[in-house]
Amino acid sequence: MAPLEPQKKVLVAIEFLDSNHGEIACETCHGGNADAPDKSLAHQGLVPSPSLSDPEGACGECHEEIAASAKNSLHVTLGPFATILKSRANPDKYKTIDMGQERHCSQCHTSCGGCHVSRPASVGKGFVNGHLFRARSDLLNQCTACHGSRIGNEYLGKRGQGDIHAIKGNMVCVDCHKAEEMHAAAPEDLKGRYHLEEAAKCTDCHKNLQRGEIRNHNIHIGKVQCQVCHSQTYTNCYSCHTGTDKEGLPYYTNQKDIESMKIGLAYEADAPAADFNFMLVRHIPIDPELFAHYEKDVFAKFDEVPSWKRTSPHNIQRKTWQTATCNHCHGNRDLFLSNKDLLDYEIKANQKVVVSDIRIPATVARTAKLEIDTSGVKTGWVVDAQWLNDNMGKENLVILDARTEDAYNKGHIKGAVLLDPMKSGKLRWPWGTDTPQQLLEPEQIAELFGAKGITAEDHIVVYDDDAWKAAFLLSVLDYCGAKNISFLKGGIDTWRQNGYSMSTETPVIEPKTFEVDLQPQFIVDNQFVRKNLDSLDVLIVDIRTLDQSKKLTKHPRALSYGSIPGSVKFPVYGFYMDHAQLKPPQELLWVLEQRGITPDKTVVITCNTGAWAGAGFFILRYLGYPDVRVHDAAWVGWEEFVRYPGCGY
Amino acid sequence: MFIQRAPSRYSVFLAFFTLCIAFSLGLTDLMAQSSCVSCHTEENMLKNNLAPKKEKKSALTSGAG
Repeated sequence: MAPLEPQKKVLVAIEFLDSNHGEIACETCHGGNADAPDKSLAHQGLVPSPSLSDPEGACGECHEEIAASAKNSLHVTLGPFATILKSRANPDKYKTIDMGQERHCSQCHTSCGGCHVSRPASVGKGFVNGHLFRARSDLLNQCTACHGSRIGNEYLGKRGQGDIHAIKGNMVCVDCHKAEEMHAAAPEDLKGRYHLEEAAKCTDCHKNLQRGEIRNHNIHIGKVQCQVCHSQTYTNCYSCHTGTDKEGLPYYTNQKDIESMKIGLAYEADAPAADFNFMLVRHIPIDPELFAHYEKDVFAKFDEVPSWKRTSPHNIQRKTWQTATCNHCHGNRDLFLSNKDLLDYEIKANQKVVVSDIRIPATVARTAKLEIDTSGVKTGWVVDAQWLNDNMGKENLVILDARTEDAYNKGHIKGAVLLDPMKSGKLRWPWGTDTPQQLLEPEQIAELFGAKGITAEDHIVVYDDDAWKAAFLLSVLDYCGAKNISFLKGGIDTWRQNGYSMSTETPVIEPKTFEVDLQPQFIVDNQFVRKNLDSLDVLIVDIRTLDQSKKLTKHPRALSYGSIPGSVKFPVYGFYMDHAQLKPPQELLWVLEQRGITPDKTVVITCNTGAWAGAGFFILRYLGYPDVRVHDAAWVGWEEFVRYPGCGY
Repeated sequence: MFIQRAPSRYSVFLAFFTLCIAFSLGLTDLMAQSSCVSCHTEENMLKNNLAPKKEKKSALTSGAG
């Protein structure tokens, strides 16, 4: 989330003065000197966040009960966080832990104001809406401003397909996490956040599952956490290290993150055994060296607490790959946490979570077989790092780096040629032209490809760091008639992690001629989309993230919030995983079918400007969809088109 | 030495007249607004008074999950 401009952070709306809180004099809550003639005098003794230092004093006069309770809530105290950290250390190190937590971790704690009037400190503060107080916290500006890297991204389809509660229910955080939970005082000896009595549970809404009509609920309730069946993959963070930079500012860095899914054994400390036996677990960023910058060997009892912990991903879907058939879990050793998944320093710590071979549920002999037709998958369109390494230097192999020039200059795959498809004017008309961000004339694109030393007959492998830019470039190559194209699965990160050769040298390019064999059927205009809005044979897929397709935010260049009527919402990150990884084709095909995106239809993909649409187009082409098209004008063009229908846009 | 004197009829009338004018124009509301409000509701005034704070971002700024 972008920080607000300094003046906007503290700009009070006139409407606030007419609100209930506006009737209270500023200095009553914030101190300072309201009669002072200048800023410095007026701000003497000012308390910017009164509810942070004294919630009862600031809010308790009117909200007595809530303020008394909320000051001990998890959002304020982060209670179990310190408890768990200290359980890995001897008491003589508690001082270092407290200091480290205060310097590096406590910016996440919040107060009444952080949930009801301001953006939290971790995203630079500032009023959400001119100091107007709101009972329901804002999903974007408050909840996911802190809980963004995992929960926000998962929920809004910035990792995975998004959450069904957002897609179908238009639900926001406080629809499940109600005031009773948020304001609840956490007992001092609370073992973990899941032990909070008031914590939201799936069964608060989804009642009577055990005696319901769904057989798998009857079978699995009491054994398996709901998320085991209903989540998508999620991120795992490894090895957080803290430090202080040259200017004395504290920082923290995460060494590694992986999108995956693992089932572990429920253990008492984190999930009462009565709830279930198996739960989803994620690697938390704990590391024995977390505070080594300040003191060595802080965590002498590191083995006391697992580093794989219960997780509740916020990317719920009714039908997931796990629910597709029993044997996606039963007998699937890879899905269950094993010693092979553990790092050397954490083997002992996680033994109570690791699922031994004998605890893996047995393969089910009689279960429905999935019939997924993968015969159309163009397997050669995706190559991995090992394949590329083995084939480096082969004749007609061209490697394109689709990242920015800056990223390329810091290090790229040896011999790779830079072609940033997002750079203004390279492949698309710039902003301010009649058709902004739409593809240039094919001849202009071909000229660029030729200048980069590419012919239509070359084997062109494209990579980047997050998949969609590379895939967009591949879609343009496909449109222009390139015969042999491939996406590098895992991108630059996997290449680097495998230790393959990197370079900072720019290769010498011999210009060639790229003969265009245009595939005009791959692109559709606004007229086509409008004509087919009600067609049963044409499916419009809005590939933007859910915050945009559900009208919570918009592209900075878009004039309005919205989406094309009747479009199916399937975010681009449902196709691509973190670090340009891909799910297996059969899983992608199955998931798409569940969402009604089937090969028997003409699938038109749209987004904001056409780039994500190109990335989605590439994946569907790879999967063998016979009729896929890109809505090149996309949302920025569509909204102009429907606003000014006579302009012929 | 000060001499205590009763206010003249003129000064009482003047004070009364001033109050009437103030109430009729809503000036009491303006006077009631603190210097906080008069500054914090004016974006340009805030912009002139605030300098961007120099801050180095942490490597990850929204890691609470």
